[in-house]
Amino acid sequence: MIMADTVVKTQELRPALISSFNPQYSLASPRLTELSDSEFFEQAWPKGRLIDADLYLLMEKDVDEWSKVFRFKSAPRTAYEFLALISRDSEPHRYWTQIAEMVCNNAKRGGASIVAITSFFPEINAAPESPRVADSIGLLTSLMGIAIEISRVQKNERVPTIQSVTGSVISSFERYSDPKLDRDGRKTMHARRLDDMRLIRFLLTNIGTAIKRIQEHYDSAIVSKLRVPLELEPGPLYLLRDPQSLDAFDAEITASSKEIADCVGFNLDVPHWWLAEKTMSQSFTSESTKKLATNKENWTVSERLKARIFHAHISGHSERGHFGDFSLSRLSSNQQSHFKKLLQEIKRLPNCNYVSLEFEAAKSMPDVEDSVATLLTWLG
Amino acid sequence: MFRVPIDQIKREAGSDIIELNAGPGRLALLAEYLYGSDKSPIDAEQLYESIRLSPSIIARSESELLGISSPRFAFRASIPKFGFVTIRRRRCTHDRIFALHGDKDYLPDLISRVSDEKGSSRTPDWTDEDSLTNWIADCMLAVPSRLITDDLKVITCDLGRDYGEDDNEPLVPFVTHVEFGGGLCAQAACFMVLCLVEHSKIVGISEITYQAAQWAKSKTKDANGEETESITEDLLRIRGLTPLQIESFFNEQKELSAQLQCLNTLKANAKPRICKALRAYVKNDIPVIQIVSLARMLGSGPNPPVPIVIPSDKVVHGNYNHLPMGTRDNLDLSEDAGHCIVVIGCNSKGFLINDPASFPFIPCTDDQITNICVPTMNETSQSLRNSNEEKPDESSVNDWYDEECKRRDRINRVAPKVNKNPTSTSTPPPHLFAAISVTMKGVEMGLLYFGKTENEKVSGWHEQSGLFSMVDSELRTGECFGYTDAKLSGDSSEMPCLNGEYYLVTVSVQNGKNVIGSANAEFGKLGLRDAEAIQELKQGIYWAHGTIVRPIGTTPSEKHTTAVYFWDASKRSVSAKSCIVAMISCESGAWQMCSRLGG
Repeated sequence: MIMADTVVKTQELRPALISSFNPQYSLASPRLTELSDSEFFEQAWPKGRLIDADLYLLMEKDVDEWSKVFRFKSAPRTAYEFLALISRDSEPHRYWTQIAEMVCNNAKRGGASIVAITSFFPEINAAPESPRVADSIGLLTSLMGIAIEISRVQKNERVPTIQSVTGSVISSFERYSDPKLDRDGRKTMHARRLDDMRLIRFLLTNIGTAIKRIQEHYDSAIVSKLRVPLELEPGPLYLLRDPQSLDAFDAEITASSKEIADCVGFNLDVPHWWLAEKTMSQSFTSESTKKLATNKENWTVSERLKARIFHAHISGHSERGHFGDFSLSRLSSNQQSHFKKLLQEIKRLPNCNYVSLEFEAAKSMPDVEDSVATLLTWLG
Repeated sequence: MFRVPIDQIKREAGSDIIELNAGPGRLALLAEYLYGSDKSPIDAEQLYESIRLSPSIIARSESELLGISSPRFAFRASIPKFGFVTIRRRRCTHDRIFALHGDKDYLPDLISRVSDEKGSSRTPDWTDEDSLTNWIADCMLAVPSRLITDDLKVITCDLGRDYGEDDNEPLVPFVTHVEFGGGLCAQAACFMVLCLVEHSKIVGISEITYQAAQWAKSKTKDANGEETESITEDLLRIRGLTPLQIESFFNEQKELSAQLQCLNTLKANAKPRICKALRAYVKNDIPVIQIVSLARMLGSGPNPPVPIVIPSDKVVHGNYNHLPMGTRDNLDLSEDAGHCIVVIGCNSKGFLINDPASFPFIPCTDDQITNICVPTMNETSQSLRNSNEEKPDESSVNDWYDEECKRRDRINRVAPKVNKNPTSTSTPPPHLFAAISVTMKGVEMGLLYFGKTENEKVSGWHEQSGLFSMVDSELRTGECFGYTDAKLSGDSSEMPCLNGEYYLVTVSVQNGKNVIGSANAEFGKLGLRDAEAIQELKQGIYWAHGTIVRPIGTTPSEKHTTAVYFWDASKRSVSAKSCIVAMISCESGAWQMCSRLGG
């Protein structure tokens, strides 16, 4: 288990940029080799910026291209299916190595190292015995394999963190006639929601299974360097969504096996924390603001939880709703001030060395460059 | 700009978005309908080139509701000078649903309920574009110039920068609803209203559905009036919301307040009064969700109104949206589900509505908007008591509406088919007008009367608070003003109001975002700034903000007529300038207001 008082901060907080700002040309795209240098810097990576890469694996478009590279007879439709498919191969690391070499070359062309991987683990919180979960475990196994291979290619002892949101609490649907609301006796669709604690245990068990799988291919020393920070997504139906669910996760992780407790942590997504509950992000910075409107109970970021924050995300974001990312420079002055204060707190976190500019599906390269420049200024 | 290749748009959203019957696709048709003209037609190629992948609060929250992790992004097409349209990646949604639920018997309900031209159900097929759900997600749109008149008022918001766009011009939000499991028109309407109410937090479809369900769980009562838990703890109903759920959803928000108001349109002079009140809301930037009958909107039923949604609309939307065009003649009104629209604009000719099942900026006349009532509504049927029925007015079609129908027919290349001469039947038409007004907390609208009444008393204040309640009031003539329900006012929330007690209340008059004048005790001496304001005041389109000052005992007194307060909407505060005074009392659980204002 990682405890705050046992870890010494060894590295400054450094900036990274998520590679999915242009979904057509992410750093995981094999097509980048076809681009001229000028095209590369217009489409795939900002030129001359000293910023590392948070690799998005994979955009749907990349799946088609990688399927061609690997000459799959029937191409998987989604990244989820693709990464699960290669994990089932008898020699999956040959795929992981090939992908790692390609993405590292792409990043190197932009002057960047890959320091993190962002993806989705859909249905990773399904019941371990459910057939639905097999592909999610396969997907995570592949991400772990690619992360390890990236560290080898980059000759870096640090393995890129692997981050994702946790998925939904909705497990299935059923037709049901509510005697009060369906007075005509009609059956209407209802989504079945599973209990949070059950889902958290499912999720940790499934991550544990992926760790075991990857241990079949790599020695335990490098596997122990894997970090899987989970991202809070504001919304009532996400499993990790608010301070209460953060605490619940933290308690369950603590009670898990050493492999899981060492590996699983959190991604502090600044605007998501802001949106989930504005006072939540203030709980770092203001001793006087610890009361949450949601449950009227005190909540602070515990030292244990702080030690489990392995990565951070930041982006411009509306104050009114979850509309998506925009340039940092467009934040209101109030938000800018708050975000900058929070960055100072993140700098002090013992295990968080990178903050990624999360600017998925940006409008244009000038927007990205403007936001990168702002982040660099804020980090000094 | 980071563009998206056309083949990807076709693959992920459906080829019909780009190309339809060897002609322009649905996107270009929509843009042409809204903004094209003979002199300046929409350039479809330029429109397609503007499409980029973008985050979408609607796509993200719909995926959340369906328990799938993607798509969270959608395609965004810019229409220069007019805003943007967001396109759902319908095939991606379907792929994910099939991957997760392909073997489940509830799959057809999840994907879509589809009716063909004969009205029979078909099993959805993901390769069939007609089985895909509505394609228009969250949009921000300018008012089409052809609809702009000197007296047109449209409620807008400035969310361009929140969406990551360069411009922050005042635009109107619009979204069509999906049909997963059932229509989610109420949620779509709630989303539009959240965007339109300044400063409110904006949440997506999943949050609206979830929060409304949470309220329903806590409030449902059985036949004996005892609270029951009608929805099991682990089931979330994926369907539209009841009017009470909509109202409570807004009231549960920290910043917002809503009032469900139900009226009998058959009462004497009810319809013109409803329209007058509706204009008062719109002119004061207060959006109204109207609960309507979809069948009536299509021109069906007894004494059918002139249809607001016309058959050719399906060309822009496809067969898959909520419009049962092929079955409209066979609709059983007793089975007709309630539908939600948002009233976003008005002028002297009529109203502009956003219909989540079809179009933004649909013009409709006063007669149309009061003739699309829901046939039944158990929750609110008590409001029909003591109705004084009269024969409904004959429908009339004005030029504004007529031109719109022709335009939509022309864009869609179909022959006009509009029922302009509805046949009367002996069955009375539905006549329950139901609407929900949404404001910031502390600025609820109610009724304040400045004219002469028989007993200077407005009854039924609490049960039917809001401007529409004037229909059931005892007023003979005079002007209607809005009035803050002081009980809910943020300024006075800490002051408990007791039964039988009268309170001094200060009220100030404003027009929309600007205070136009101070109110005095006598109507003719209001301190208005100009003649135009006086003219508008006489039309009853102003509202007032009231605050409880202090209790004044059990008897109204003349001495309480000199308080001086003024509501500044830009600062959202009350300042002392001039006054009017009212007294409210709570008797038998119903708020009453005694006006001493007309002298």
